[in-house]
Amino acid sequence: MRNSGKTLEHSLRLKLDGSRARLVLLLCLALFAVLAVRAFILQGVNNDFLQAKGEARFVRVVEIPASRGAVLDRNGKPLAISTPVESIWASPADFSADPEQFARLAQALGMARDQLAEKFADRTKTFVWLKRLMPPDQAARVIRLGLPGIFQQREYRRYYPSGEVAAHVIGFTGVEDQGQEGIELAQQALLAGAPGARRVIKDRKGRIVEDLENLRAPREGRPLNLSIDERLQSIAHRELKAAVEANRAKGGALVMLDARNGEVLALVNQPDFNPNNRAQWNPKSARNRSVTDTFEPGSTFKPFAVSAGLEAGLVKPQTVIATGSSLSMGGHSITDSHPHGQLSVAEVIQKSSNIGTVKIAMQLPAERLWALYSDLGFGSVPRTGFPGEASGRLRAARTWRPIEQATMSYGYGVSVSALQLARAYTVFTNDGVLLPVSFLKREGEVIGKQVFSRETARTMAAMLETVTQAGGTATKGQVPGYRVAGKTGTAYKLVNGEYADNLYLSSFVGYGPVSHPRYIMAVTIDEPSAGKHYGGDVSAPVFSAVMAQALRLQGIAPDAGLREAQARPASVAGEIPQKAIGKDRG
Amino acid sequence: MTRLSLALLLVLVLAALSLVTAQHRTRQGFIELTAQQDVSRKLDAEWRELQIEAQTLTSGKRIGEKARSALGMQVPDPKRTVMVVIPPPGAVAQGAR
Repeated sequence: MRNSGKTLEHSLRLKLDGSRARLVLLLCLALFAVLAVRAFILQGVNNDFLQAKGEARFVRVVEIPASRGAVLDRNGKPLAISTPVESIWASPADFSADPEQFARLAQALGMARDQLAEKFADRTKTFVWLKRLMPPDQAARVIRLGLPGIFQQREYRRYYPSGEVAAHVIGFTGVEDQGQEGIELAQQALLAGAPGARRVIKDRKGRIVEDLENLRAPREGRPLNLSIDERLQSIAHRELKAAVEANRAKGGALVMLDARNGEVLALVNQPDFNPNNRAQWNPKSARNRSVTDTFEPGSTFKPFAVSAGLEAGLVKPQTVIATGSSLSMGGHSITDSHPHGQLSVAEVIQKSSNIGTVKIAMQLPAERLWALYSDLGFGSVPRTGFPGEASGRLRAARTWRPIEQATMSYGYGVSVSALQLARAYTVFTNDGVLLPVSFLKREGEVIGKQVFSRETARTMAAMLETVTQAGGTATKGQVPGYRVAGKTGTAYKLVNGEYADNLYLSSFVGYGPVSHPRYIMAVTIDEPSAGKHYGGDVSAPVFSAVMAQALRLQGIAPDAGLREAQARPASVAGEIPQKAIGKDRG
Repeated sequence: MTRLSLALLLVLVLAALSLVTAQHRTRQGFIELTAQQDVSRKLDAEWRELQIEAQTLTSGKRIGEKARSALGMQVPDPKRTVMVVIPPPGAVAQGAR
């Protein structure tokens, strides 16, 4: 086409060739067709990739936090409970503030200015925690400053309303809601919820502008009913703490079981810690001694060997044994701290004679005693699921030397935990059946293991009752109005492989009321140093105080007879019990 | 042909309007849902705090301390205790107070 102005007017008037117009039209249509095909390929065939690219710019999956299940005591009282709190985080890349705003932010967060500046040091980061687990109102103040790049995130904080009272049983969680100790750790899977997720559209500043869909609903953690009774727990805590302080002891432990089904009703340790205040926490006080620490039990171990003697028909309660002043065995001599002369088997238990116990135990084969100790749960973990459960030490029978068989019968050369010891005493409250222990509330019948015959268990139970009566080693373990039974122990502590002269572990294991046993309690006081060290003087009073309050609380009828209880003096102190202690091999 | 087109146009307009209404209702519903979820969360948080408060106030430790120190209460010794034994027909005797 010529392009001069002179010919334009002329050529417009010309009737153009129709085929050329059609060609142009065709070309135009062809171009549209190419566009249509391309559009179809992009939107219809190959759209996943592009859609993903697009969404990656504004669609986010955010987590919906789930709360951790509460830990409740057997009556439904909360022992650990989570409440929502806010955590503040920042995106340094999006953050900007003038010095004055920065100062206000630091103040609202309760942080030093240079400390806060450090968090923003790397301006390329898009996520940094500023402060976690703040009370919601305080967090709201931070958000109200309206600074760009500052956000809040809902989290849960764990509270322990009973504080140090139940600290060792429950343990605690870390900042990420992970159980660190105790039940919190043992039952993590059950307590922890599963966070949900939802898909949202966020703008450039990270604000949610539209909710697209719920991907997963959060699954809240399940609440957990423990076997612990908060009231008994606080009584036990108070009495044990008082006793540890009064005796200037290094520590102490108390385990209380339900004598009928082996549930742990109370478990306290000294020293303790406050799980709500992690600042003063140290691993030493956080240790649950009654479950994770073992010790040589001393005389509280005697009833087992003596029961084996009764079971085998070797002795009867009235059988008289000459205890003399010492018994020599393979170059070692076994003594009673107070010579007793002639004692019946019942008196061997009542007065805690080492020699008498050894004379019974040596009549039995080592394998038999080993099987007995093993059946009673010593040397293996109690399988409560509690983290760090100790198995204690019980060596195989074929490695025993005779002197070891002898010392083991009165509790040296074996090591046990307070929980194991308390559990072993269930055989005396359940006609010879050893019950499994549990930190969780039990439903229905419990299946135990027959260790002794019913007759043997009852005979020993009757002997154990004499321990708390006049002439026994634990008159301070008496509970006015009730019949209680038990056994004292005063063990020398092993220090660097030698028995120390003045370090003791004083213990008492007992139960009550004797007619229908409800509670079994093991009390150990570690290194009492205020003058008294016999188990009957140090630990038995704790047993008495806790047992008296527990029985009264539960409204259990006194079984010791009315007049007897009222005639008895209010104080049982003054009588000096004779306690035999064992010290061998040096 | 024209009449059919007009009818279809009317249907189209109605469908478009109903879509707009439905979308509007969805948004309102969503706003309402979010608001209610917020209320539920607040109430849940409050309930938890009240539980903690209740447990802190009624803990055995605190009640024991208050009874002893503020009220001067003590456990009666057996001499001053009168046991009332109710002979129940077949049931367990209760009454240790």
